[in-house]
Amino acid sequence: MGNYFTMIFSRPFPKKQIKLLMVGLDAAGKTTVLFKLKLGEVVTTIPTIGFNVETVEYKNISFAVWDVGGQSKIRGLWKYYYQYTEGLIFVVDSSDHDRIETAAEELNAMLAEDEMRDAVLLVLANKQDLPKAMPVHELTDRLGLHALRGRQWFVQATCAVQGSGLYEGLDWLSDQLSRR
Amino acid sequence: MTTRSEREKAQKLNEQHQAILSKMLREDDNKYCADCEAKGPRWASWNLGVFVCIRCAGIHRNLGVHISRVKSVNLDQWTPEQIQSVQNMGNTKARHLYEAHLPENFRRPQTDQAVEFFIRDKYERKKYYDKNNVNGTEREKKKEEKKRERDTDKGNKPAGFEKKREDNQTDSRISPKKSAEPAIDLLGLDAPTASSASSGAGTSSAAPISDDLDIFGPMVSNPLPSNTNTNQVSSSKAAGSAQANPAGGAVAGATGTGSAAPAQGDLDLFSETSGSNKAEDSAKKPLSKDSILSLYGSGTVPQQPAQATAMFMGPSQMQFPAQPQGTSRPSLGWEEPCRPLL
Repeated sequence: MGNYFTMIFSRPFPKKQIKLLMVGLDAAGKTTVLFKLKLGEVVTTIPTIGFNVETVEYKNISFAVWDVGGQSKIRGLWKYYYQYTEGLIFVVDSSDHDRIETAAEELNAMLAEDEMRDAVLLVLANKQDLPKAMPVHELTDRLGLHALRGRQWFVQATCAVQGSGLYEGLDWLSDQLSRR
Repeated sequence: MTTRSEREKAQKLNEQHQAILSKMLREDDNKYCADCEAKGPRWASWNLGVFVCIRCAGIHRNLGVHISRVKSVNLDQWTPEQIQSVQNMGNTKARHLYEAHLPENFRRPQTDQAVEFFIRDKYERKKYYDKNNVNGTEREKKKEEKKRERDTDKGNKPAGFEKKREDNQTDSRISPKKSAEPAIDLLGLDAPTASSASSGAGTSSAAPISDDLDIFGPMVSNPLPSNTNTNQVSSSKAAGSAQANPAGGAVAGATGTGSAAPAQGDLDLFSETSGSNKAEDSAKKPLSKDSILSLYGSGTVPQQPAQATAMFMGPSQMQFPAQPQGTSRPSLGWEEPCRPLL
């Protein structure tokens, strides 16, 4: 089993496949986003302990999307998924006003990592259907995105259970990454 | 940046919180999911103040943070406020509050969809909520007592069980009324929750067993099929897309999620069986007067009441004490996600 994982981690992805890492606080909706993209349907999820990974074909690009659990004590494991990441999808629960600061801290800590230097950042402002969801401009401010230097970033409003905004987000990603 | 002393302080606080939570999880009502009654919940909605299983935790997260805020007992750090909130409520009190108007013959749903419907009814629409709950605990206790009286009056079945219980005690040649009382009391606490799941049998002696069987349903097989299924679908799709490598990623996914949970199940199973084996062993041994008397000593220790009960209840109760679960689980969360680093 150990060898099996080592093999996957040490092997560079084929030319056309792009590795996307999807993280965010627990209950942001990462797994729902992943399976909505993969299957086009809303699946019943349970909190992710460990990770899920799926390949999603879109606009002639094959995205390998890694969805990693977000409970506070397992966030320390995110770093083991950084290698070869070209695009970072940071999912935020827009209705969770109390934890937006925590989300900002986690995001900025991650962006400071050397391995994430070249990754483009897509923020999904998820759960826009819920009451008191923060709009995109507010989230942008509170995540401190304007202060980022030397980073391509974009915030997309989404509602994963309805599927709205997800492909717009992928559009931006494929646009950015195909330019490279 | 945090200083060393701050970190140590935080760690200490965290340990205290863990201790409080573990202690709370040993309370009878907190041993079962507040919504589906699956055994051994490791998740909580801290603002609602209830302990739930991982499947119901997933459903609670669908409600939105304006209704329920979910945390893992083991995989999350808790703040003092969050701890305070669950301490103020807990599954017992929450049941009196959120299930006050639950029909008496209500059968708890078991399928994912039905459970979600029930949870939305319970917390979002507050369909069973006690709006003028002043002292819910008192009232509910009376209600339970009444219910128990009715049950014993109602038919032969419960009375038969009662009788059997007494027979067991005379068999082993100790029938001190004193010991029977705490046993019944304990069961009395459990009966209302458990009996509703066990197809309305209404007898306390039948309930723990059906719960034991139940646990393997909701905790292991139920939530997983939905996940592993989707994984299987996706990995087969990826393989079907006839590209050389992408399947690698998808297969890894299937293994990743697949292995995370069965491991949990395996260990669970293990602790479960070892627990009941022990109980069985001690049941098989002929009970000498001394061994029985020694049980009285342990019976007075507050942490072991379930075990003591089991001893007097005969084989039908033997599966009841299954505590070790709690201690085996935390390590899992760590082991599994670490695996990719090897």
